[in-house]
Amino acid sequence: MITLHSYLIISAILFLLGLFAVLCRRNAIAVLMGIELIINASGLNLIAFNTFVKQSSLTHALSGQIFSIFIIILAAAEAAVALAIILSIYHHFRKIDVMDLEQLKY
Amino acid sequence: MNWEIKDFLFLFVAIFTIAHAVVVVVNRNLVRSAFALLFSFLGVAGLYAFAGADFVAAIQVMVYVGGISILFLFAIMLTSHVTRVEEAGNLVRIPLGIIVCLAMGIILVFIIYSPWAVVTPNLEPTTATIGNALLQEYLLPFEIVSVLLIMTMIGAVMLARVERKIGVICGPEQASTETAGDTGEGTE
Repeated sequence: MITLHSYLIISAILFLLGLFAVLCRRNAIAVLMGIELIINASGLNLIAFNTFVKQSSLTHALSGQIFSIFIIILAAAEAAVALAIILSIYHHFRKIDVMDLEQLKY
Repeated sequence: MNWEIKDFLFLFVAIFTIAHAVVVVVNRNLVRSAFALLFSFLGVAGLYAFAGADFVAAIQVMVYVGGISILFLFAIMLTSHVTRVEEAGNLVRIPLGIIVCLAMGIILVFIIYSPWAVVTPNLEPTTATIGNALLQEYLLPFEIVSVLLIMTMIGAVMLARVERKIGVICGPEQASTETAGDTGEGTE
């Protein structure tokens, strides 16, 4: 049951849900939630490949997990900056609907 | 296929994660979406633990569940009133999004069922190995990430900051704006 394929299927479902949120939600924060789901799916894939797939002798034994840690750090940084941008946009335009926001400068 | 207890647990955690992710995407109320996102992150941490990545699971709980979810909740409560956080969506975009996701899903099915060199995992504690690797092979990325984090912190504070106009008499609307900006600065 705990195999590579089950992990790949779970992360594919997470990725597709995130993609759907990015494409179809109108609120900027909801779009950002979709991006977070996509990032989680990629981290899950890296962990699964690191654990269940035969590794080459050139790389570190836990390189997938270390990459996953870096992805988590970068996602935290991205979320902080993106939410700051959304707060700034809300301050200027009083809305965060991505279909209505057409200008970069107010 | 004989199922052990850990297989049932794995199935439970997987369904837990995906169900909460579905709630994140489908729910119109952003606050509920944020809470479902928190539980989905928690489920992903459980999946990490099942794959033998104990340290990454702990990091996931600390950073995602404890940090990013709370940041999302703060952003939602700062940008809109809780009761009317999401308006009706555009109905044309939803079928188009489903079509794109299905096409992407077909590509992903081909990728998933391509032959992989699968081995049986040997699960052992990873923290010491990851610590050694971060200070030896991966020292340069580690340091660059620390620089990036301080850049992010300064950038987020700069972006969420409200410029104060000295000498301008604040009307009631402007005063409320200033308060909102102050709180936004505090969360970053």
